[in-house]
Amino acid sequence: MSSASLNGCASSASDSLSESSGSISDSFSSPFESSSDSSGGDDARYRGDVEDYTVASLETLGPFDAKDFARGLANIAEAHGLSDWAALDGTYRAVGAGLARGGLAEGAAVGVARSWLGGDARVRRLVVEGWRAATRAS
Amino acid sequence: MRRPIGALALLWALPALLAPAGPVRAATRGGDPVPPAPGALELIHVEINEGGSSGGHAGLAIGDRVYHFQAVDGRLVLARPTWSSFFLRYSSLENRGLRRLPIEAAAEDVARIRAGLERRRLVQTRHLEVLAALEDERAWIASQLRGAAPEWPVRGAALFASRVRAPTPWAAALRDVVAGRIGAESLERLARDAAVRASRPVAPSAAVDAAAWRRDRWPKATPLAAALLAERLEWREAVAALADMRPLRPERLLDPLGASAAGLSAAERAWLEAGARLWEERIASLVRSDRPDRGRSLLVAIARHRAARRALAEDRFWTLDPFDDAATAAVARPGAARRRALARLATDLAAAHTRFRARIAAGDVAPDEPAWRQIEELAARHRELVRALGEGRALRTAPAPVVPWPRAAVAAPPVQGAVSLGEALRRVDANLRRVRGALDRLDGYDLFTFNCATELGAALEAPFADGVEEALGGSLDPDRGWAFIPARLFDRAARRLRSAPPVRLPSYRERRLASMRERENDLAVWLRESNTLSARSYHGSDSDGYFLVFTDGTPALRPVGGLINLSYGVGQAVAGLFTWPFDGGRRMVRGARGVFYSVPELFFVALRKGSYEYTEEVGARIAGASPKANPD
Repeated sequence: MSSASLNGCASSASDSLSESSGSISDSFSSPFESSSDSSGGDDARYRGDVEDYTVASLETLGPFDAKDFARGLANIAEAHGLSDWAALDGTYRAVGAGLARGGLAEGAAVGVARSWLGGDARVRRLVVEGWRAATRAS
Repeated sequence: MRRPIGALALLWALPALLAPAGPVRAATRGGDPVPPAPGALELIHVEINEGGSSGGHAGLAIGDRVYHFQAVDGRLVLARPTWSSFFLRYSSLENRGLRRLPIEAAAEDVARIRAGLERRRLVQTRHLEVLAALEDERAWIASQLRGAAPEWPVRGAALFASRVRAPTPWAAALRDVVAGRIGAESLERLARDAAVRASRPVAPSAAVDAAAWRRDRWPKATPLAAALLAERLEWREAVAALADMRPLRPERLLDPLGASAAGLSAAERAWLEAGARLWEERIASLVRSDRPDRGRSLLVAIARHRAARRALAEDRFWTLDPFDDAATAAVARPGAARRRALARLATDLAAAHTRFRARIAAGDVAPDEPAWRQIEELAARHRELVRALGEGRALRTAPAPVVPWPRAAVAAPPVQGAVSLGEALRRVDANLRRVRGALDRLDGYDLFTFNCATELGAALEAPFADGVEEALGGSLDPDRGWAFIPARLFDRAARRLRSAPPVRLPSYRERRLASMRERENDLAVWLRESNTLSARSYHGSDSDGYFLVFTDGTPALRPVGGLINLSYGVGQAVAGLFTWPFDGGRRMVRGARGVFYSVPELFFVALRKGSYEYTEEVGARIAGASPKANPD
């Protein structure tokens, strides 16, 4: 019995399934969480996470490594059960929205997206779409 | 455990501090409360109960996400489940009341709080990834130092057999399709180049400047040997699987309905055909990609294409087994309550799988990746439960959506010759010391000064520096007084911050009792539900200590109930000494836990409320498994 368990601050990853009440039920059902919630479901959460990651990257990356940005996108996709972030238009739109939220003008956003994701015409189009949609919404 | 004596004292000597203070409104809507509106801010207090976080817990809900700090291996880790997940775990399965405090703050101030928490979560995630990468690197170097041939656990490699006896027609056809797009020679060259690159020795990671790490700054990028190794080897294995027409390993294919299952309907055939074409397109695109994670994406795309083509060829709905064997979590000799929960889960998953196939058959489901993943997971999780119940096997699971990337050790390049293996090990150990030291400095749990309450309070105020009163209506001073106790932090917030009156959501058992009282005589319900022998609102849990009487609803009778529970716990613990050889000490431990949580009851304090292995809300969540739109 840990001190953490006595005070609060529930433990998570170290909880073995055999020790924690309901953890098997939780673990076995969590991937099927309903998509009909107020946030719009898994796809909206995925895009929100990519957007947040983009904003945080703008703020804190410092000396930037484009491969690191791609690795981060891969990790976010995996957390949502997706194996191929680059195949999803939503990824690029969310990056565009994140660049808008980070305060970049459209031209600057396109430039940053090119250095992070390459200069593909489809990528550019989707990033711009995401940037414009976020700008309109704000 | 930093201060175990302090923890014990806190639990037994200061029980009143743990209890909610002040009036709260009770509210539920069908037992499943509505999450805060998008952009709304609420402080959440999770009330006490036996088990993890028995002193209570705290979270900060922003919209439908709840940010909360969990103690994991001595460090505080910021988690961010959805509201419904948080509610299911704490209110239903752990049977705790939740108090909600809606905090009134401007939208831009809530956005700043959220941005700070997100930044912290992302940075912490990156720190932990660096630690995991260095641990993998150490294992790679240490095995070579012991004289073993270098190996690396490649994600997704366990999907494929390494030898091909006779390629399947669909594997050959896929290779031809890809070769048709990029040229047969190009595919061979791709495989050759990938093998050459993956055989090049790799230098140990450079020194990680972990001393400069901060909670709110992305760490300076350091090239890590683990990333290089993983990406090169994933790519080599993926291109080889495609070019060599490697088959799926038979044990990686699941047909959960067994040999008696009906064949595929026309609509299912169309769905699988469309899915196979989707994966074909992805594969053709991935072989031309240069992004670092392309190899593992390619592995899963090829595997799913193979599964779909085989299903079509054999008229059976084959899906991939997505679980990594390393994710095995043993459930040793489950007790009666847990076995019942496993059986209910298996029934729920089988029913959801049947419904999912019916929706496919009705032409209701797009053959995209979310749908593909869901049907894989329904089948795989069902099989795990059936095997655990029927054969006593260990359960494999994961608490989140699983991409089928099971690992297999494959031949890896050695450490670059310019560095001796001893020196390489010394370097990686130095890196690990630095990184673990930094993590302890930044995230090290302390019961009194750095816990889920103090950090949540600090995170709430951090964006505002001197303007906290203007933004939130007052200051929490989370590092002062009793604010390290979640209940006290919540009460302080209710007094000092600009907020609406707190609302209490009853625990799962309280909701069940309320529902019973609506239909039955109050006294009859009280008599029947006051003890664990006749209660219908409680079914026992393998995790709960032994007890007989619920004391949380009857303050005046707690010492009597406590005495009964104490005696019962002692009796079970003593009996457990004799049953130890048969149950591995489980009965004795549960008896001791029963004793431990009975003592406060002698002094009118009820910590224990019982918990649940399964509730119908779990079943509802599984029943909600539905195809989700691709994020396009």
